[in-house]
Formats: sequence, C-alpha cells, structure tokens
Amino acid sequence: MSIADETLMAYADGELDASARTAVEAAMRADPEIARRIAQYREQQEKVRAAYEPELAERVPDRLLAVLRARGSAGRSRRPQSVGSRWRYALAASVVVAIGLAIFAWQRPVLMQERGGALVASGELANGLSDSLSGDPSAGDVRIRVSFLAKSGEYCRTFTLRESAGLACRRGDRWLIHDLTQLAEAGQQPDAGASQSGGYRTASSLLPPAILSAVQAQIVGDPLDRAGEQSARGAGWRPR
Amino acid sequence: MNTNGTPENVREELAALLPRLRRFARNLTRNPHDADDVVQMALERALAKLDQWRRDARLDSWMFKIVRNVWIDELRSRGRRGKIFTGPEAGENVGDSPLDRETDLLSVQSAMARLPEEQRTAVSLVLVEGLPYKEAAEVLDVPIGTLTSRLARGREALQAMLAPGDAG
Repeated sequence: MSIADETLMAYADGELDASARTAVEAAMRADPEIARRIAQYREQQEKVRAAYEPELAERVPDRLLAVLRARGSAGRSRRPQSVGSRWRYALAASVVVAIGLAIFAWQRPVLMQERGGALVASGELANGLSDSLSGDPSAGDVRIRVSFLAKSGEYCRTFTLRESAGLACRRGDRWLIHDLTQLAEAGQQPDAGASQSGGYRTASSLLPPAILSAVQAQIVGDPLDRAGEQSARGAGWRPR
Repeated sequence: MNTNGTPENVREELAALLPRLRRFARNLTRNPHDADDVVQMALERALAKLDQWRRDARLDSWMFKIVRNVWIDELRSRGRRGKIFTGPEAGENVGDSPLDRETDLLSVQSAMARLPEEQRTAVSLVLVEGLPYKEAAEVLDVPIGTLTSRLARGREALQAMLAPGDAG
C-alpha cells in the first residue's frame, strides 16, 4: 500500500483523525521506509522550530509596547511613516559606536577604534577577523563564529570577545563593527518558550538574538563552510 | 463584570504575543526592520477593530492574519507585489556538515528565506508558530487542502536544501 507524502506529513504533525491514524500506523509497521519518512518529518519539524526559538527571547522594542499602552483605540503612538524608514539604520550605527566605545575605550591593547563615525576593529580583534577560521581555538579572547556574504556584497563575520558578541564586515582593508552587544546582558533577558539553554553566557552557547537577527537580515545564501572561509581569506576577504 | 475579553485583558494577551508576532513578521518580510513596522501597524489595526475579534477564535491566528494583511497592503502600495523574491542564490558554499548549532540555525533560516512566499508562510505558521492546519489555512484565507500542499512542497524543498551533500 502506498501512502501519499501529504498524509505522512499530516500524521507526523498530529493532524489525522483516528481511523486515518490507524491506517498509517499499520503501514508503518509493515514498511520501515514509511516509518523513516515520518521520522524525517518530525526531525525537520524540530529543526525548524529550534532555529526560530532564540528569537522569542529578544526584547520587544518599546515602540510596540507603547501602542498597547496608548489609551483610545486610535493609538496615538508614533506611527511609522512607512515600513522600513531609513533613519533607523543611521541611528543604529551611532548606537553601535557609542556602545563599543563605552565597552572598549579604556581597554589596552585597543581592540576597536572610532574612524570617521564608524567603529573599526583593531589589534587582536582585527587579526582574528582576518586570520581565524570559524570555530578555531584562537589565541586571546577573540572567537570567530559564523562567516557569510552579505547583501552589501561584503564578507561579514560574527565574533565573541570576552563578554561581548558582535558582527563585523570587511570594507576595504578594515573590519567595520556593525553590531555589538554584551553577552551578559543578553543572558539576563527572559527566556521565553521551553528553552533549556539558560541564556547565552558561554562561548559555546548561541550568539545573542540581536546579533543573530542582524545576520539573518544581512545574509545571502548560507553561511560559509570551511572551504568557503579559506578561499575568502585567501582573497583577503574581498568579494569575488 | 469582568469577562474574559475586556480590552485590558486583550491588551495583555497581545503584549504576550509580541515575540511571536515579530517572528512571524520577519519570516513574512524577511527584514527585521520592516517586520517591526508591520507589527506596529497590525497592533494599531487590531486595537481599532477589537470588536470584530470573536471571543472563541484564537487571538494568535487573528493577529497573524492582520500582520499578513498589513504586509500585503504595504507591498501593494510599494508597487512590488509578487516578485519581491531575490531570485536564484549563489549557494556555492552549501554542503559541509554544519560547524555548530549556530550555523545550523542560520542554514535553516537561510533555506526558509529562499522558499517562495506561499510555502514560506505555510511552513512558518505550522512549523514555527505551531498552528494547526485549520488555523493556518484560515490565516492565509485558503482551503485546508491548499495549505497542506503548500506545506508539503515547502517542507520538501527545505529538506532538499538542508540535506548534506545535496547542494550540487
């Protein structure tokens, strides 16, 4: 007996009624291939669900909560002029510089410097970004996490550095820091959903949601694998 | 008289839904900045027509539907409804087994972003947001059979994109 994929999928998702369920279960016992396909659907379901779980732990922007707090159903909040107004990007950039300087300005050796309104990696951080492959144990505190080609056409890499995590992109011969956040701070955010991970304290746990969503917004295709990183590094992180 | 659906209660429930609404909007728009704008407009729209929400209906489904409608309106007014899709990707570097959970997570999200919109929203509502097929079909205003086939095609495409060594 052959059973349509859609039926197996519906079974895996718990969408079948009792009689259809019984039929699938009988077929499953008779044919290991059917059992395998159902397991595959379940595995995929878990994989996709898990990939989006960290987003639930992100802090909700105040402007959204403000809409709900506003009295009167018309909602007197600051309404977006249009979806995706540009000023927010500019604002975000200056916030990154401010945070970066606040965290790193007094450290020696200097790991980030302000150059023309942007935050640029230097010293050990710049070396790590240029030379290390993702996941490599590295000298010092810099760990490179994920590398990818961004919509801007630049290569970008995420990193952790002591208590911070960030996203840097290669422009010319510099690494511009696009996002920066403190790991400890991210770990204090309420953990929504059934996550057992308990925050983002250690280098082995996930990057903070803010950094992951910055990557998600920028990435073209998949993250680079090891061979992709090696070839990008060989080309001085200049886009092909 | 304190019934279950006083506006105050609903506001609280909406606040609790915000992380999921943002997540769904991101899957829809594939841009976190657009997503928050869409959620904000959806909240305003929802508050303005709260009387149309049936007490027995799920608030999450109702909100997902409003989020989607706001986005459709937005695309219309941008005049680029339909092909907002970025075309074939340069997926040269797919194939190695993922280095760690993070790469895994980004691979799933990147594969999702490459699905056609209809399949992406179906997968997002059922697999990510956990809606039953019937609810997801109502959010998308399609018969349940259509939802099921979009979901099946989306999942098949995801499977192909995420299977190791199957990139070529």
